[in-house]
Amino acid sequence: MTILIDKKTKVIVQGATGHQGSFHTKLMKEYGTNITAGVTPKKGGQEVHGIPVFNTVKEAQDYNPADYSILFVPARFAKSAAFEALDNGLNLVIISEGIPIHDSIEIMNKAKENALTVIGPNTPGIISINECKVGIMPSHIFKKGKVGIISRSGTLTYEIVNELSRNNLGQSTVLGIGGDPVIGIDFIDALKLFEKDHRTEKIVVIGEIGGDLEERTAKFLKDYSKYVVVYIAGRTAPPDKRMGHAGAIISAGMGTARSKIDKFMSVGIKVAQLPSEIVRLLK
Amino acid sequence: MKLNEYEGKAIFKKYDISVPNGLVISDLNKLEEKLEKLPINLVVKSQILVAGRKKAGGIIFVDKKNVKEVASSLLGSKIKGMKVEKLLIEEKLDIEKEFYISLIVDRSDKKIYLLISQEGGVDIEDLSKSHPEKILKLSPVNERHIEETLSKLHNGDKLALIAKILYKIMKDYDAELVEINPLVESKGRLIAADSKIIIDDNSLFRHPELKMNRELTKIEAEAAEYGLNYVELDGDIGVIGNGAGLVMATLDILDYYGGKAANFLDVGGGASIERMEKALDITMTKNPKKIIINIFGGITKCDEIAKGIINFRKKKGITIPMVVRIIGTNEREAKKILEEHGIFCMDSMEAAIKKVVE
Repeated sequence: MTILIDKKTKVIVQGATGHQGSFHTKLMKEYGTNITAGVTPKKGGQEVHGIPVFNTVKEAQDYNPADYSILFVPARFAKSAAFEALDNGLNLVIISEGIPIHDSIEIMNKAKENALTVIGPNTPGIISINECKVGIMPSHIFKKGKVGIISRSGTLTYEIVNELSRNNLGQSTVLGIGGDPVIGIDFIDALKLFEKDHRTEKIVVIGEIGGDLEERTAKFLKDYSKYVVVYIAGRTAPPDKRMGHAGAIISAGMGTARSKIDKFMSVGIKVAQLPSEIVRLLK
Repeated sequence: MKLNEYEGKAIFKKYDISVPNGLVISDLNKLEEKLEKLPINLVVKSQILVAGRKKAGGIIFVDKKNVKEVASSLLGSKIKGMKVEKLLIEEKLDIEKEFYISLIVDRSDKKIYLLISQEGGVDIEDLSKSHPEKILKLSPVNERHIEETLSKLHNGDKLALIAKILYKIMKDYDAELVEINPLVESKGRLIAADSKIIIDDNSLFRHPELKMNRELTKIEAEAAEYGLNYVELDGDIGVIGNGAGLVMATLDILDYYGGKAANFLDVGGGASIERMEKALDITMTKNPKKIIINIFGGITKCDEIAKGIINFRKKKGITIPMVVRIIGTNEREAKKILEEHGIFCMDSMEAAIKKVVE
């Protein structure tokens, strides 16, 4: 088993004809993801790597109903694209970076009303190893196994996955929840899913400065049945500076790495000081 | 992006929220003339984007005849490291009561909330810890509910109206925070004695009228133009990497081994040769002693990064010591290019960072 996506998951790509959308459509297809259609307004009738492109999500859904849509559209059009997907019953993976915060709030509230899942925005996506990839991560670094990973960052996740794979610690599902302040599925939601997933034995949570998600996650982990290792990036980040991700900012003294690490340690969760320690703590 | 107090107050005024009578100056030209319409008791407020201005000496209550002296001492001075370029001079209010009112984005609930307290003027973070029951938290969407809840409070109708207006401002300006602290009751009126508005950076394309990036240093603004995420720090080792989380981790590991980072620079995904050259250019402005480059190539092609490094060194004739950790897409080509030019490459991130500190 895996969480959220597996071999049977069917996916459409919104923004499939763009440079990034088309490139990753090809890579996801090569990984084995069942991509049923692409959607780009005014580009209906074209094909992208053998996949039919439609003008609207509705047409794509009528052609072959999917479960997820992955969004590669520019930030300023992301809200209307996301609404279109949610109105047609699709869960979402939003790759787009730079979406206005009020747009994200509206997207999340609509998803909640429709009881659909949103992953992201500003995420590398999700991969269930050797089954399905709805994202942009480099496939070759992953190895099938029993560690679940949840992260707020992209490249740092690849770094850690690579170390795990080299040390024979394979993964079940690796999920990027996104680097924005307002996101869909978060650590707590994902941990609940991993707890029920029989194939996942241990979980790595990769957090960073900003907000209080890690603090709330620590509280949740008090009564959790599986082994969790945490890494927090940004121990040395200065206050009031946005460290690359929109959500990674210490403001009014809130959201420091120290506060997050202390909360995890206070409930007995192991926090790795260096990324290489994660491997050691998992063994 | 934070707005200055005077900019926030200009928005309040436009939306019919009362603000104290006052004016903004950036020099002392014709000051007496400008002050004619203001009363005897005044307050001079430095327009800088830092918290705790009053404690740091940036806000001074004065008699009109002393304004010039106070203004000339503040203008051009540095408060908490920020240069004071503008002053807001306002009438001093007779304060009968102080309220707190704000609209915030709650990350965990993915909602906007209205916060109101009858105890304004204090640090709201402190109040939320010591007396959370003294802060009302309401959804701003349901106006009827706000009116009802606030009607029990002193000045409730006026507060409800201001709440409604602030919500409109928040939406119109794509703000992530709109705050009045304190909102002062003076002679029966409610007046915004301060303003704090933070505009969502991701929404700035909808607001070309707002000048951008003023919290950034000149170099940080230049980096942003090239799509580089850059933050100045005060150490002596330049840090470049791809991905915000990876670069943050690089800084942390550097610190663990006793090094001090001169900067944070994330070249982003799929950096070109040119972008890498620019990244080095910007990193060199801090005159680091050494540079660590940490690349985990996914979308980013390692050979492009390598070519950027070589081009930069050739063009600028710079021979600063560098440790390059580079793995991933086109790694072999990259290492060949770098090693031909005598640049040391490593596979392990932690070993590379340790090496640069040595």
